[in-house]
Amino acid sequence: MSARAFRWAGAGSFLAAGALAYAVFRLGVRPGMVLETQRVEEEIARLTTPADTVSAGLAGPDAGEAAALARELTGVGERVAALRGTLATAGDSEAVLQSLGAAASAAGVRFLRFAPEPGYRLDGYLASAVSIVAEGAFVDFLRFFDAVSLSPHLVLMEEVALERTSADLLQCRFVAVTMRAVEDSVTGGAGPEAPPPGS
Amino acid sequence: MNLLPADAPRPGRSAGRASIPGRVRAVAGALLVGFTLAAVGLEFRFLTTRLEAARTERDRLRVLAAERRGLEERLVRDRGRLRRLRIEEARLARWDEERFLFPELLRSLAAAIPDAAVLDAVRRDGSALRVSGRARSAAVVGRTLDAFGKIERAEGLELLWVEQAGEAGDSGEQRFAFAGSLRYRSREPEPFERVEAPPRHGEGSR
Repeated sequence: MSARAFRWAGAGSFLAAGALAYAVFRLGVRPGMVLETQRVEEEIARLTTPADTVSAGLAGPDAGEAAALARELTGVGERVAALRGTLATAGDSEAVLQSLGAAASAAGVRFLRFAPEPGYRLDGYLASAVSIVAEGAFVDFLRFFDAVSLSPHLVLMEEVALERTSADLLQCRFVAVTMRAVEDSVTGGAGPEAPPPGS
Repeated sequence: MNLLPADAPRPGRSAGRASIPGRVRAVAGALLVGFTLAAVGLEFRFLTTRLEAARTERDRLRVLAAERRGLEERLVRDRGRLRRLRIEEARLARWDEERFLFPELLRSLAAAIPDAAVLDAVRRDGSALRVSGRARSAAVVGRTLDAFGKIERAEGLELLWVEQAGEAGDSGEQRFAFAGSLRYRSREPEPFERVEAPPRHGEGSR
């Protein structure tokens, strides 16, 4: 091969290498990069488009609302916890009802009938009830109901019927109910027993 | 730049140097290749930078969106919890008020009733209240109703009936009955959704 041919071959190989590199880049590398860039930019546009910000979650509530809600939750939670403190627990639910007898004796009220009734569940609470018929003077009943209302545990007086039976005596029929949270009953406590008449 | 092989014959050249046109061609070719590679490099760098910036921005937006979604889900959970807590608070507050209600009512009735009247019965079922008694005259019944109407814990008390006491009817004593309802300070709680008997074991059923 002549020297001239060598020179052309050398220059041609340079050009061919340059052209090949350019072709590889233009045809093999660049389209993929451009396509990927377009895809990413479209996703950005979609994320920032007002119509899609809600579905994307970009137009959600601010942290201030969450903080206010958290404060409110704390306040309500504390009040609920304080109020729940008056509910009976699984262990002492029956004892609370039995203690009515002692309160009645102290107030001068006499229990004529003390009949435990089937408990029932109200959503997250379990109610234990006892039907009571009692006899006493008006002031005795006042003392009795006062004492029960001031006891540490909640005792509700339902279906109360206070009737005069003689000049000085009244008869009172009522259902005393204690409430406890259902989760308390899961942890156990003694099973219910039929309490004896209080007095 | 000499692109020829070292052992290639070099006719027409003096002292091993390429001719002028040959050098020009060689330099032009090298420049062309250089510019081409430089253009490719620059465009590659531009595309890489743009893609990298777009990915960074996309990732930032994705994180932001995820945070917002998390916040929204937490808010939904917290709102539900707050609603349940408020329902429970209302129930517990009503029970807490309930425990003092009947003693307060009895004290109020005892304090408000005129001397010429006597209470015979007080019935309370839920928030319904019924009071009956005897009074020396119809006027006393009216005064009793007025006095009971001012009791804080009773509301809407109305005269159900009034009748002459005794068979002879010459004593003037009147029997009466009022009906109304209890007045609560706490707000009305939502009714319980489920009321059911508990399981037989360990739940306090009798």
